[in-house]
Amino acid sequence: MLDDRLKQQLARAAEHGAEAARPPEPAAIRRRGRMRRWRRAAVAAATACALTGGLVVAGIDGRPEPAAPAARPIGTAPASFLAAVGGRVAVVSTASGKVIRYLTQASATQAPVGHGQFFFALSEDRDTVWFSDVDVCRHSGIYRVPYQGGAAVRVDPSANAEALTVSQDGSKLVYRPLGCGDGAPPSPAFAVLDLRTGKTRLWAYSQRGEVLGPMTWSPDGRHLAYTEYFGSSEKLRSRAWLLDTTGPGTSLAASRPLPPPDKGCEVRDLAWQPGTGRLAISEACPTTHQLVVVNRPGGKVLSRPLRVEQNFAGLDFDPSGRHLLYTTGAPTTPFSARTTWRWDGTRAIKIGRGYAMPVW
Amino acid sequence: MASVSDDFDAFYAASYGRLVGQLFVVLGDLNEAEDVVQEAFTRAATRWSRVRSYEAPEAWVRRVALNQAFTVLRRAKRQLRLLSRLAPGREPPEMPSDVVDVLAAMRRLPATQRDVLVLHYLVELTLDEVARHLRIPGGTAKSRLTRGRRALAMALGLDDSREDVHRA
Repeated sequence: MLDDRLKQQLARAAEHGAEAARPPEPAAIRRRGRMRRWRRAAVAAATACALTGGLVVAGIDGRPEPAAPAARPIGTAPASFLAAVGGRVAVVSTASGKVIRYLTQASATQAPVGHGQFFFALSEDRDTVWFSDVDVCRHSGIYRVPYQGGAAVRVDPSANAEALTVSQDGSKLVYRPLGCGDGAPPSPAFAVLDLRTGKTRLWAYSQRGEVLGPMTWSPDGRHLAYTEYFGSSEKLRSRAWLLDTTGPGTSLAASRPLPPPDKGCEVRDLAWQPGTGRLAISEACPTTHQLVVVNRPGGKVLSRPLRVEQNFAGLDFDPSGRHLLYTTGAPTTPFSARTTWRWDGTRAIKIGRGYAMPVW
Repeated sequence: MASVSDDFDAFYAASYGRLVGQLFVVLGDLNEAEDVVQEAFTRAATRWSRVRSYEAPEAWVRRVALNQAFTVLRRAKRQLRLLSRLAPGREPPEMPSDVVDVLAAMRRLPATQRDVLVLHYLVELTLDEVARHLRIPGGTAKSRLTRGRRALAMALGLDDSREDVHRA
């Protein structure tokens, strides 16, 4: 009885408050959130610059082709990126190349660490890291761990996931599934895990023997651009494709081809540029290697803004779309032995070696 | 397919008033309540891709707002000590007398008891849920509810002598 009366009186006061509330437009709240994120990033970048005495340019071998002006003003690159270092997922300083902290440690997480091969993805808001630790037929799983550090949470216990990529809105994760015994998925295939519902949708070719390579989400999280290798082992060829993941069916045959690489060149990697409809593709050509930027809707080549002397891949734009991270090294070079670079639209800056599959 | 911003807007529209009402009871001041709720929604907006996947995003926003309310209350306490030496306080805005009584009674309680009372009576959480929400032991939640309930009943002139706090 008393509880009912207390509840009524408190509820009446709360109703009075709710009725008197004057909510600002939701857009204003979202804008405030965006501003805060930018401010935080700017302060962090300014601090990093102040601490390191500015950016250091060293040993450039990825010289940009004729200094085409950047499409947008150049901001500061993210202060850190994510990479596999010594078998663990690490946060690495962009300026100094030093490991700031490790995100996967046996004592801090429940994840089976160090037995298999890591693959990981960083959410666009740089809040969450998704990673898989793959040791086919022994253990599997996709995990989530805060970028700032903390315990890992197993999101999908059964997935043997290779090459994770999270959509920019953070709602979907795509990976190449690896199978074990009778449970092996059809190959080649992509699995799209809906992070809100936990449901997985498998996209596959029914009979073809191609090998699927790197993939990247469109900014709206709807399209997936991916590479495909085909031909004989002596002469491996490649193409880039575009798949509408919201369309009907689960066949990769529904994909549309992206413009073929320049004559004699092969597609190595691709990355969607945040905030634009553009797709950047790295191509390995007979005498040089180049970055080709295409206008996705028309598939038209817009520019070839970067030439690199070595084979380069591992493309990843920062959330502003102004800074590109990539690695150089022969395709047979282990990931951890490749050199990591960043490119700000006008110059390539060497970060260092020993960072496998860097992303930011 | 609804966009991420549509999703946030719908969530915001559905829960803003309710949360302001609850924080209004905790803080006793509408402006302060709106401030902390807006701050909590701003934080939710910056990490919406993650918050939206939670089982109860509103609970997350409420917890942020309540944490923020603690800060506000601590600051208000300091300001009150300073203001009491300078000038009389401002008159509260016009409200029905029973609402004024409830707010005045709540204001006399420690902030920790107000949180428990609001979560239990307004949000209708069980004692276990209140404890989980506030990340405090179940026994602590129960003792805070018992004391808060008794103090509130006395302040409002309600008799609780023959009743026990119902169990979760």
